[in-house]
Amino acid sequence: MAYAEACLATLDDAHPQRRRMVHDVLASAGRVRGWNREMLRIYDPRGFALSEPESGRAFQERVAQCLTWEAWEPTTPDALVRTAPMPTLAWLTQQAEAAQPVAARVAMVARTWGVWVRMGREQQCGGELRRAAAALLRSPAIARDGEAFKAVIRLAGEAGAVEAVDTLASFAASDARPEVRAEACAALGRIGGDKARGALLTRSAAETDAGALVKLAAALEIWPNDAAAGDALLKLFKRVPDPAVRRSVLFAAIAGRWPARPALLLMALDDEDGSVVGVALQALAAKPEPSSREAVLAIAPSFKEASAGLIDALGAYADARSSLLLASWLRQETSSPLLVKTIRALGAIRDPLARKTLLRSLDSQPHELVVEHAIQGLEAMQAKEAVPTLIALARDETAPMGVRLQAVQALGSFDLPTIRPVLAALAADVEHAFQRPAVGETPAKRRGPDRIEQARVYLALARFRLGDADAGEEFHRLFNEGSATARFYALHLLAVTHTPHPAIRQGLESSDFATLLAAILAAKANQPWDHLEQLRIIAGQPLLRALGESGVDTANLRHVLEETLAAANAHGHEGGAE
Amino acid sequence: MQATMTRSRGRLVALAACLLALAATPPARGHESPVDHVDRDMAMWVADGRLFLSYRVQVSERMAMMQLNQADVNSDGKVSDAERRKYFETWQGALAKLLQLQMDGRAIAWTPVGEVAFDARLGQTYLFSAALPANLSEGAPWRLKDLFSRQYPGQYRYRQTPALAAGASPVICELEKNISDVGEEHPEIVVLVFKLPKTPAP
Repeated sequence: MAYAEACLATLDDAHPQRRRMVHDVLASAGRVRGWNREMLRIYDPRGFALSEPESGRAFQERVAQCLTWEAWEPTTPDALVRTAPMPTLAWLTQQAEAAQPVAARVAMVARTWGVWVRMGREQQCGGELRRAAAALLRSPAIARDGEAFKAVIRLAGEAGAVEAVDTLASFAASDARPEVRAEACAALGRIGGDKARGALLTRSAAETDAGALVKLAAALEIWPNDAAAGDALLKLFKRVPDPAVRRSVLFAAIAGRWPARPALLLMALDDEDGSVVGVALQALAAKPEPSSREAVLAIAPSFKEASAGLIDALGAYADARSSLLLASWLRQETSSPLLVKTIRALGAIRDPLARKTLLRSLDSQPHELVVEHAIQGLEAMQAKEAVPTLIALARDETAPMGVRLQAVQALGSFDLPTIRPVLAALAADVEHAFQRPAVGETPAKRRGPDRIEQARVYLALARFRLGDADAGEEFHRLFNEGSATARFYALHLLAVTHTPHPAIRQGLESSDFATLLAAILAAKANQPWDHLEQLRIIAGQPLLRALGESGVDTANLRHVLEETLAAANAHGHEGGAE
Repeated sequence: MQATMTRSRGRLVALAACLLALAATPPARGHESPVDHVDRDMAMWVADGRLFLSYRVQVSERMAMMQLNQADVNSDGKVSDAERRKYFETWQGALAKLLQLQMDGRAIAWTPVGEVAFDARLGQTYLFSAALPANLSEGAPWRLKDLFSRQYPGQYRYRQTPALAAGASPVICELEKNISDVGEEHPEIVVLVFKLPKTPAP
């Protein structure tokens, strides 16, 4: 930010062409205002000072002079939001009271700030922003300008402006413009709370515009356990035949757990529109409803080609009556993602035909990811007839690395005398056994994660699972001495194989993100209540919580932690605690 | 705010679950990796009979936050000066051991010098020095194995001509061509080979 400050000093009216450059610099440097405040204070003390209301006042006022320029640069809104939040908020509040606000500029700033908030970057001015948004919503002048009004409504939702709920509810109910009603419904869904919910439920019975109903249905998604929300969505589905509305209702049903859900999904399977049926199948894949089982099986043969939602739904029901259809799709389909889904569905079904099909796939399928999933399925079925092929794959120096490692992992689950010597031989000569690149493997892929290190981890764990205590020690040593990637893989393996190991406890103390994430997942898969104390400590760390609320937690560690803690606590409440 | 996360949260949870339920090598499959990369920037010079190493790492926002979380020992959401110093002092000591300096197979220990310097690009610059052993073989190769680069690979830059105080001589380095010759196998490890300047400053 010090550079941005220096750049700003060069700004003057005699050189208007500098404005674009200066605003580009401000917009870029200003990204630091999105950092956690402690991090900003330590890494960029000048940036911290410039973002503070008192020490940054002169700087921010200077930046905010552009609010009165005749023309804005493309990056001016970003520059204002990121480097001059206080004067920009004051300006927004003035615009809310003005008889003739600069509506186009209000819209630009509102959109930019909304994105900033949605990315989790607003670390400072949340309260002031909510109040400014609420004030703008009360402005008749802003309300007359459709674009500005929609942008401000959206901002109110992004900012979580609970003080604006009543105003938004009245717009949702009575604004003549359907696009405004739509944005108001969406904003109510983002804000949440009982009042917002009540407003949406009331409106759901009366709204007629399809666009507004799409947003309204999406907004109700945040109440997945609320019976009234489910009833309202079912009524909406019955009342409105528009496919876009029906799809929106069904998207809400993916996470929904309302009493009305089974009836809704059964009705949806009968829809004339294939896209509506597709979303219903997605919802059933997420949580199959017993009442829809026969309907899903009945419509499956009518699909001319494999469909992702249908495959997932058939896998979720795991009904052997769908094995033949899935096996036929496996023969015809060429898309790798659909093939993977089909293999996973067959793996869930586990009947003799599924078993035979997965076994055949080890030799016949050209896509390595498909073969990896077939191996996973055979491991889960404990298909001993697959062991000779798995041994061959583990030893095959020309096979893709992922396939070989998956085979090694699977072999660790079969307690057969033929397996231990194979794994021991591979482990004794890892460098030679795994050094040669597979057929078609690119140099970049070859240089990717450390092949030898990975192979050692997989082999050690497989041998440990078969009772080799020394291998358990070796696994631990590899974990302690390994790269961040190796530790991630090691813990990932403990999770997917449900293998308890002291490395989980160590991983939960790690300051490395990937290690911590994988450790939490490993804990979840291995009696999470054993790690309850550690999980509680982790959940109570303010800076880790802050990371979870910022835009950088792209792997959603926060949600994974919440789920794991819930699983650990649930065991205690069920009386299973030690 | 909860509502905005629902659909995207569902998809993110699915992604995280997929990462760890799918194939053997999830981070390499085209999704964003949860493993952080670290870029590094180094320079070495000789002055006053000692070898100096400036080692700057540029971390991701996520990694920086994880470090600060660890430093926040009393979990009050703030990192006091004392907490910061203690954490990074310990870390600097650990880093000194990961940057293995060798001459003729002899390990030479680094000593941390001063505190870490932070910069606004999420950089942390550490300074180390090592005493030059007596009876140095003229022109004998030195090696610096950066074991931290093995743990956290990333972009690497060595500054052959850094700005130096009067009397200091820069050390010119090149990357080791065959890391297996020095007992290493990780493809991303940085191993530097260099010779000391012919007339090091007294």
